[in-house]
Amino acid sequence: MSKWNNNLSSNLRKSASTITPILIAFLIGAIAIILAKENPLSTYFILISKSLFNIKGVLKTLHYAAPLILSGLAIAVSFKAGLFNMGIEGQIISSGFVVAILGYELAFLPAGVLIPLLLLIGIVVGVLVALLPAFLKAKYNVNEMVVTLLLNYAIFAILEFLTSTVFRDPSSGYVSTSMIGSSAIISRIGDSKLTLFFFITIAVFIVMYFVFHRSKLGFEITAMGKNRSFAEATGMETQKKTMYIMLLSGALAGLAGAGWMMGEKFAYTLSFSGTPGLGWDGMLIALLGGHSPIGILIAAIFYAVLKTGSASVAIYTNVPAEIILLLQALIILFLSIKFFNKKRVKKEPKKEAATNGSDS
Amino acid sequence: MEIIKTANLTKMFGDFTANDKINMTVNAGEIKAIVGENGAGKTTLMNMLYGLLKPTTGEIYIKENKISFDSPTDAMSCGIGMVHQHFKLVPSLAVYENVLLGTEIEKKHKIGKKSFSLKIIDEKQEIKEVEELIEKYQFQINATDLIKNISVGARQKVEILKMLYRNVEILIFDEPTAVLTPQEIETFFVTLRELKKQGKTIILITHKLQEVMEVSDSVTVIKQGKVIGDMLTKNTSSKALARLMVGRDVLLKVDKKYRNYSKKPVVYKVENLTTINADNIKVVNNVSFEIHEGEIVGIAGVEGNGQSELLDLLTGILKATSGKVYLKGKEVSNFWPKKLRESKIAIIPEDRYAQGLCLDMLICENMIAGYHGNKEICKYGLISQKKMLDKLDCLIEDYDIRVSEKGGKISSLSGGNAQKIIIAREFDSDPDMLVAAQPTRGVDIGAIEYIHNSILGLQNTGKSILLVSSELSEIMNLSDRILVMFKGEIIGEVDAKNATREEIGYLMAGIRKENDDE
Amino acid sequence: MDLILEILHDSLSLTGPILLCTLGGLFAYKSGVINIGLEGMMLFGGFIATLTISFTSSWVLGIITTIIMGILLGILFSFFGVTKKANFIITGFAINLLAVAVGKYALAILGTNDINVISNVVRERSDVTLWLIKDIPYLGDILSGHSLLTYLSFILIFVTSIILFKTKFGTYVRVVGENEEAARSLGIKVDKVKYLAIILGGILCGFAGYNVAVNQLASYTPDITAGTGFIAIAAIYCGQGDPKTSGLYALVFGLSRALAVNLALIIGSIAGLLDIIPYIMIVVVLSVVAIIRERKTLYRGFIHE
Repeated sequence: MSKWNNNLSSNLRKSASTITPILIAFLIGAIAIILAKENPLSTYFILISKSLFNIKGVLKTLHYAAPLILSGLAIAVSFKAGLFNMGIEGQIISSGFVVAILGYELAFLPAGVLIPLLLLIGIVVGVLVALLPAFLKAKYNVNEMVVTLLLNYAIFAILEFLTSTVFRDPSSGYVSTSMIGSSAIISRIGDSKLTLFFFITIAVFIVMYFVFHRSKLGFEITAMGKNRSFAEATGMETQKKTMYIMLLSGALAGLAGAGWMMGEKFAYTLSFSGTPGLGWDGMLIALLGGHSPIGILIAAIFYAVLKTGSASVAIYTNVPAEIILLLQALIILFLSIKFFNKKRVKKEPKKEAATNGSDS
Repeated sequence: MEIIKTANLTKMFGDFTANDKINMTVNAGEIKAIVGENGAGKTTLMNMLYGLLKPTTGEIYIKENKISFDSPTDAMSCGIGMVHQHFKLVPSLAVYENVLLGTEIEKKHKIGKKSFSLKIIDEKQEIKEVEELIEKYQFQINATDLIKNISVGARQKVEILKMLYRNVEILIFDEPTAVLTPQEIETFFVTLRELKKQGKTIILITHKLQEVMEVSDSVTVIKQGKVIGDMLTKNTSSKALARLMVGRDVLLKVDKKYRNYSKKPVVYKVENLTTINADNIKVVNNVSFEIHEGEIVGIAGVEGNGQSELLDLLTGILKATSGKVYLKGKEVSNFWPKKLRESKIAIIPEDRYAQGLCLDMLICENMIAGYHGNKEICKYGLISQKKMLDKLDCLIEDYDIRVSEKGGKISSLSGGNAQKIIIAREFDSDPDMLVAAQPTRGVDIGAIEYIHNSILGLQNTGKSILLVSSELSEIMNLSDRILVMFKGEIIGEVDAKNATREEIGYLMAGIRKENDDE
Repeated sequence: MDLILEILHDSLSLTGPILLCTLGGLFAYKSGVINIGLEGMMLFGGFIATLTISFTSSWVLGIITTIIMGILLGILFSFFGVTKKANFIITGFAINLLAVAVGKYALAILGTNDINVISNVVRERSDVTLWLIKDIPYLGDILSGHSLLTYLSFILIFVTSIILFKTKFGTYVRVVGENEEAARSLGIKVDKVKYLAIILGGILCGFAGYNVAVNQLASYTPDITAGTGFIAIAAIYCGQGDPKTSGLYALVFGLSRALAVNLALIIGSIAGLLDIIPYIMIVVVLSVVAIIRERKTLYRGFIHE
């Protein structure tokens, strides 16, 4: 299979260009840790050890990795096609919210019915939220990035309003919806945090692996991302595909939101998705994973390690848990350089080709 | 007097030697032609003279002083200017703004005796200076027109003005006639002789040998990065130059058999096809033509007269506002590219790397693109890797495509081999009709021969072909009938067998034949 | 009537930061770089300004550190986006995330929820009363009593216009954005022009952050920008990079924010829902502008953009 027949040096270059940004980020992060008057090395050790060096920690890490894998795939599927769907966050919280409400209202249904139903509803909600920007982009080329971003703010405000008024749980001390019924909760495995949802995620991951690497759609996603004119000229109907891809991305985000609600949060609160939010985590993961499913799987687990560990860091040291935000932003910043290197080959000759005959 | 001299000038790109110990002299006040095939190293040499590239080894002397340029600015301050093949103009700015770009004049304000500048550009002064320059060289252009509104010939004059304003003594022209009509070329030669009379030295990079013979004083031939000939123009001939360039006798004309196709059934029919651009201008205006079975119809014209848009229409990228297209009697108007290919129309797009191929994707992936949904390769939405690779092996063999690494990307291929990928892909689909645009742009002579023979071979199997090219000789050599486009319309039709360049040139310039006017 | 005056008055104040970001992003946009990091640059500006002022009580120092911050961020973005040829959309995003991260981390270390400068800044004193104009009925109520930066932002529309269309620098910015090769072939330092355009944007965004954090809220939290940077990008897109048209869109977006704020005061319980007005409105405006523009193109897949 020539596709994976990359020679050693290019593989080395690839992993080096992924690991370097992480190292630089950790290096700069060390300065922040010193500012908090702590030892960077021991802090980083805590960050990793609590989530990796024992079974319970590993299972917890995998538990947190599940929505990250989905959100990473959601970002990757659109970014890879050159579509900047920044609405993953909004799609995740919308889905989480609806699932929270219905998980409470429909609690009388047995788990065997309710759980699959809610997962499906989560997917539908994700798709519906993605529908408007997808349509605007596909039909009228309205900048999808700005639209999805601004809609995120609007969605958050709407959900905040609904959560604090109509759907507020009066017995709760803070702004929150009512807990979903026990039949809507995805059960844990043994006494670990890991739920069945992780395996659902893995199933979806396998499907997405084939979509990315083997399917016609995956082929077209790659082509669109690399050269839109080429994609259009070779009959890929990019406007229609834009729609499909944005909606697929929304579906994955919706599933992530539903799973997070039913396996971890159980009620919608304003911090449902955390800071900066599962959607933004997904962006880091997709970039770190180079938009490839295997890469995303590894990146999601890596990031889940940090995320799980950051709570321990806050407990055992004076370093605030926000250190993870800093590392995340820095990794993305330094990844932006690598992101280009792969493209570079194409741009230069293309420019020349594009100027051919453009003097008309 | 020697004005430029190079000594063992060498340029390497990695392991590849683009220029190999070039020793060349240019005398002051002469018109020097530099000829060679695509990829022979002419442009590399000029880019070193113009400061765009740094030599790996060797020296350049200007007026016997050794120089070393870091940028075109250095070259210009040494009196060397270049007019690029693809003009480096800013379309939204006026002629005068383009001429003065980089050397703008700012207003001076005075308070008492002190003068200061608010950094505001003095437009009046700029216009005045450019108008004076236009007057001096008697160019027929208007200093305040926007570049986007003027013709290609006028744009070339703006490029020349840009250099003259900077007081250059040596002017390098890179393929200057590629975008001009035969008549505009004549005007251009007049300009060249006028510049020579004013004492300028001119270097002409070209591959059109009859132009070399017509206008130059001396000629240098480059092949595979080396100078292989240097002579006075009056002592040579086009034939001798061609032999030098290619290293063997070249059939400048392919072996083409002309037949009468008018009795054959019509395969492809275009009826009153019209479309507009964003400014509501009819870029393709009421175009109609028919192509018979086994016939090649060529479309000639100066670039920018609607050929690109017509191609985009016929290849499904652009929608028509009115008009119809039929293939074998079935309407295919406004079909998307996918449906066009399904209807058995093969497409060789105009811009190879924008529409034909994806440089950053694998060769095998490019080999199936456009046909990647075909049942033989794609089942249940999954593409068979094995069949994709089998197809690659098979077509590489059949079409003699030189691929260094089968698992590589298109970016690793030369222009000619990349174009052959498209040819292989499209011909293999067993089409009824081929739309071929600029099939040999930027490929070497060997590949041109191959591609021309392939197209004629396809014709011999009874397929119909529409050929659009800005190379007039290509159109004349391959077509059975030639249509000429001007300002979005088909302005005339000539029989290829008996057509002359002059006749087509007039049509390209928008001048109809007498008997058409009635 | 009072409500209308109040809304119009607030429109101008709330337009200020949007306008500063818009004009800031416009230089980069014209030079061919889309700066997604406007939001983060603004947030960094607000952060450093309040931090400086809370320690020094000097608004002059606040302005100076804001400018320095803007320059540094501009250099950072340019170094990645221009010198290193990074994917500048990702770089811009990283700057946005970094701004939030630095803010939150710093607040956590300082052990506080916000950086409050209310005791250092007397809001009334930072607002300018326009002599003569303030006495004009209605108009005075609307135009007078804004912060200096608000006035500056409106003046900057015209300054930007002049810089872009009448000066060498502005011409180079446009040329670089339109045909980089043309600029390079005449010895214009393309990268330098881009750096300057981006740095200028960084400073203006910093001012936007200062304006919100110091003049309007007298406090910094990592959510004060509320999408202003993206609203500015929408304004730039809608106005196609023309300072006056883009400025006008910024004003429209400012008005919608003022509507949301003022209506919320009188409506009460569903006030929270009004927050969405500006975002929805911008999406609508952006779509309408794009629909009008794209209806003209007959190219499929928008490949000739």
